[in-house]
Amino acid sequence: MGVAIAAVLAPAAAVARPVPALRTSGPAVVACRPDSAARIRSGWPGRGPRTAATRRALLRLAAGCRRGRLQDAIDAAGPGTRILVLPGAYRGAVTVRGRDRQLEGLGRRARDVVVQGDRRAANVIRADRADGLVIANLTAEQGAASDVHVVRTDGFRLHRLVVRWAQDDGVRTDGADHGLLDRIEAYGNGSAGLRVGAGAEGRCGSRRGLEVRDFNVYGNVLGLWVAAGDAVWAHHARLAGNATGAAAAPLGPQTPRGCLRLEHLSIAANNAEVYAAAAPCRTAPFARRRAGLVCPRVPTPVGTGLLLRGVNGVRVRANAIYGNRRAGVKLAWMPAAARGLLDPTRQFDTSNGNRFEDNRLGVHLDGAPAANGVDVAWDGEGAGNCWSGDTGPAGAAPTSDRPVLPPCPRGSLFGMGDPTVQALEVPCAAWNPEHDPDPPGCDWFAAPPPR
Amino acid sequence: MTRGALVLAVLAAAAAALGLTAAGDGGERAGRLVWASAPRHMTPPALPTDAVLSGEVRNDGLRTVTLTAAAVRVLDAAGRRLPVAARFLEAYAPGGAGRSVTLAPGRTAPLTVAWRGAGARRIAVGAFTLAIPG
Repeated sequence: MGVAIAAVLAPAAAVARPVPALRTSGPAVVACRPDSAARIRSGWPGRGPRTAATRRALLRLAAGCRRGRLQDAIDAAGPGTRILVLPGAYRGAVTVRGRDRQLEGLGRRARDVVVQGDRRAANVIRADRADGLVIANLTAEQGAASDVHVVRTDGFRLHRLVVRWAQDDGVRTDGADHGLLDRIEAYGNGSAGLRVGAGAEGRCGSRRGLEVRDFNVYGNVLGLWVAAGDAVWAHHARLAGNATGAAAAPLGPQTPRGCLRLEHLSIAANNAEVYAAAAPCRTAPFARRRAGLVCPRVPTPVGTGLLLRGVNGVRVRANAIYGNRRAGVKLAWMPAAARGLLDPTRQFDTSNGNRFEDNRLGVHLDGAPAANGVDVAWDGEGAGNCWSGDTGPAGAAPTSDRPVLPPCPRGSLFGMGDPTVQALEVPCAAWNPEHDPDPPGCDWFAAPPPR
Repeated sequence: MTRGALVLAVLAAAAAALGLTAAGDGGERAGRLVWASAPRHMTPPALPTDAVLSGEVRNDGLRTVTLTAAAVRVLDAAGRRLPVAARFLEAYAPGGAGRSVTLAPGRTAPLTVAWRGAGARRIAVGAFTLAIPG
């Protein structure tokens, strides 16, 4: 039985693969560490009947456990098997392949089961062609690329995870579709807390895609990065204290078709000075740096809440966007040639048809003013971009660097945008963490002073 | 001027006009890359000591040339290099976009060059030289 993607997405003829449910019964393989029993006793102290029953059940599993290496337990699991991971720290990267595996921590909290990379292996948990995958209730940390990387997988669920201190991304999906990511906490990652999208395909209404909800991303370079995510729905989550809260951009020459939905998000105070603090990053490779040091791997304008670059048909609705010292929302063109599409007639195939509706900008959740540098920054490029129902403090109109924000549904007439605004960002493309961490002409790498 | 020197000078001028002398990127002589129209000269508001120049460059030579951003230099009057960032782009793009461009004769490409510090006099793109207007 699966949890259908509630989504984005109205019913359509195509049959959606289900997002797998969390299973609580069926065949299981147990992994443990030498101190698992002690952690169980400390995690479930007391004499209450439920606590005692849980403790006894877990101690029975620990007593029968013969697999101290997590990969051994994964390798022993067949289709439909749960891999039950008792509290403890499991060092070394693991790979999950095959259908319908469920990798589940049995701690009271996600932090009670820690899968720790050696800072050399690219991914701490890699799931490759693992349709029907569930990973739940554990922490993955210190991946030399990603903590959790889901690849070429159709139908998966990542539930109640902590992902931290990866060189690049906390969670990354590539070529993965029909996924639900919920209750993920991501922090201290050098690219994005959550990087999703490539492979989440389908028209709006096709019932394909990824749903990302109830997440909390903070202290990353990018909180959420939607890369080529044509069918991603991110909602009801908090993105705060990153350098940039959320960013979306296309990959490859295809024109983005557009089904990204960003709704009911709190995108707040994304002003983390990760670049200014990055000097120690240049003195040692990742494997020898201290865990928790955030070393930026991508350039992004510090102080931006939501950055949409070269995307089409995005709907940004009912979000609270405040305290971002550069801009609450930024919408910008990306020349198609930069994606490898050289046809001169198609250079302006983005950013078109993006809708911003009913967002609260520059207002803290408690109603107090918390200004963005500017609520809406837009280079003026594209057609059909529109803003309606967005409000600032006391119901005022949002602030913008454009004289007019065209209302929905019609939106903007086509424009090529302001070439000065566009050109001023080009030098930032020369950023390189080792060789050019502060390129001339680029003002992205420090948050503007508070307004 | 001797007769021989005059003949050589005339031949050299004719060869230069036809773009036949060789040196620099792609076998083209320096000076055949030009701004197709006046570039925009900007100062980032938050970076008063930096400058950004953006426009279209055109290959006015007779051969196809490949230009690389890594070969862009900004030089002051004494020929000293200023810190520089360059891409063959008119708007930001991530990754490796705009690192190089191949231009057939008469074709254009965007070029944005930024530098830090005062006294910039000219831009070198490999063996080609571009003026800094204003």
